[in-house]
Amino acid sequence: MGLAGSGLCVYPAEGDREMIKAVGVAKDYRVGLRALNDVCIDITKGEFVFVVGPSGSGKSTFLKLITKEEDPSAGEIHVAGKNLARLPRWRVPFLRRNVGCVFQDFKLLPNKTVFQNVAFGLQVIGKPKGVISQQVPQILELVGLGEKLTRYPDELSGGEQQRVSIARAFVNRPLILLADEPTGNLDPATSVGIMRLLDRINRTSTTVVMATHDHAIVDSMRRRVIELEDGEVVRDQTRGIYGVGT
Amino acid sequence: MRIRYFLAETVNNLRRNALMAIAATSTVAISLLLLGGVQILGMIVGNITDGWEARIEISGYLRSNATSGEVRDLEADLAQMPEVEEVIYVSERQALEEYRTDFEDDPALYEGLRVGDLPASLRIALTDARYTEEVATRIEGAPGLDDVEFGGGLVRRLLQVNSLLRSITFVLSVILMVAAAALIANTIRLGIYARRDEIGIMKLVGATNWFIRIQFMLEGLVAAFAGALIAVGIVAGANAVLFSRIGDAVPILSSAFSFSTEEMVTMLGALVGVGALVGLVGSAMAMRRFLEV
Repeated sequence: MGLAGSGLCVYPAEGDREMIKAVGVAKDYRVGLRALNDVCIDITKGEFVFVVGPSGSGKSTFLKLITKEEDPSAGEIHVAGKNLARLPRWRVPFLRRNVGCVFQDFKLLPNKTVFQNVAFGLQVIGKPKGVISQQVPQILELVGLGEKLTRYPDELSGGEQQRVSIARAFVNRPLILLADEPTGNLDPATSVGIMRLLDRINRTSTTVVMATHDHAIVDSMRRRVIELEDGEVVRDQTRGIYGVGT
Repeated sequence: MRIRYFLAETVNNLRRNALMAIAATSTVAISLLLLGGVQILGMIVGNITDGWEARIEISGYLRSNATSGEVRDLEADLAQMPEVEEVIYVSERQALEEYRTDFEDDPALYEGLRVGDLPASLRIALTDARYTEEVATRIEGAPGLDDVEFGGGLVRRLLQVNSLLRSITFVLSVILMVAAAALIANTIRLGIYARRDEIGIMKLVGATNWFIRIQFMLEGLVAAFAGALIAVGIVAGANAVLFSRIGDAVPILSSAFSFSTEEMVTMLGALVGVGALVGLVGSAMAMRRFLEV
């Protein structure tokens, strides 16, 4: 558990179960604009973690540090035992193959079908055709879209589009799945379905980190909750709820 | 197989983004057509100026009492000069005959002339008209030589005009080449900008930069190559159909409009090369911004 603001980090001894470790991480986008400050977080393999907090509290920035879309201004980030600061640029794509990403706006390609969208994720990392034609229908079956392979994204509901996006993020069986407000654009009933899916993925011992400010979801899942406020960790609770003050 | 994937994806993407592909292809075609037009113009100017310069020669008029030894020495001296292409001896009789043919329509001008009235001469052709004045001064006053004639100021003027014409067409073609490259690169950049989401997703799922780059460069190459072929087809067609007819219709222009197959093929090959290169490099450069992150 991190002691926010103290400048000291207390974290468990390093083991091979450790998936994500942030040590004293700070991120300044510009001088005077601090998105994260002295963040210490440990996430082990197979955990399901909610990162909560108001807009601008640094949730998205934290996720971007894990995929090395951004580099920390201070401190270290370790993912799957690798110090990202020492990871050369050309290795970053290989890091990302181990980290699936899901976003609020789905990020699907409108001119590709459901099947093609998921297959695209495998094609561009050089997976052979045989693997693709086997794995894509399988994963789409898993997310409940087995019947809609040939539909285009604009023919699907928001929930279905998010399922496609989750399928694309998970088809390569990454170690970590990052979800940035995955239910932000969905109604509560649809959100429940998405959360069931993420829970199911988590049960395959995939580490899931989800940034959200959906109280109902966090409260009903009773998973670990890390709360950020103004870029600092103000709470890290094993079986938490969204929080009283918010 | 990777290569098959890339090729299939190139065809698919060009079809899916047909509008952008057509824009890129037609931009390349039009740009290279203009560039080819200026090249043709340059070749015409070259033909005309070369034609003018080929007619420049030095006439060294021999004294009537020049000995054959003196003439032979002079010929040998000239033959040794690297600037001299050819030396032709024109006898008094030949000089008179040429004079008669030149003024065929006006017998009064040559009726009274007899062999010996016009001097024998050495006609000196040069490898390059630039050396005219230099060679002329060098042989002036040589034994047996009476007078050296080479058009003087007129030649100098002609050479200046020619080099000016050549410079203008050269500058024009460089400007057009740069403009064509910028235009093509811009169209490609627009096409890539329109697909930045796709690039973002490729990066997100862990595609390497080279994987993404190769895909887009292939597409740029194919679009540009197609455009270059259209441009070359039009220029080659114009050469085959139009230019030879111009020569037939206006004989004075026939030498200006006759291009050797070799120079035509070289020029068209260069057009295709420029087109393909700009497509390839333009795509790679346009991608740079979107590959960071």
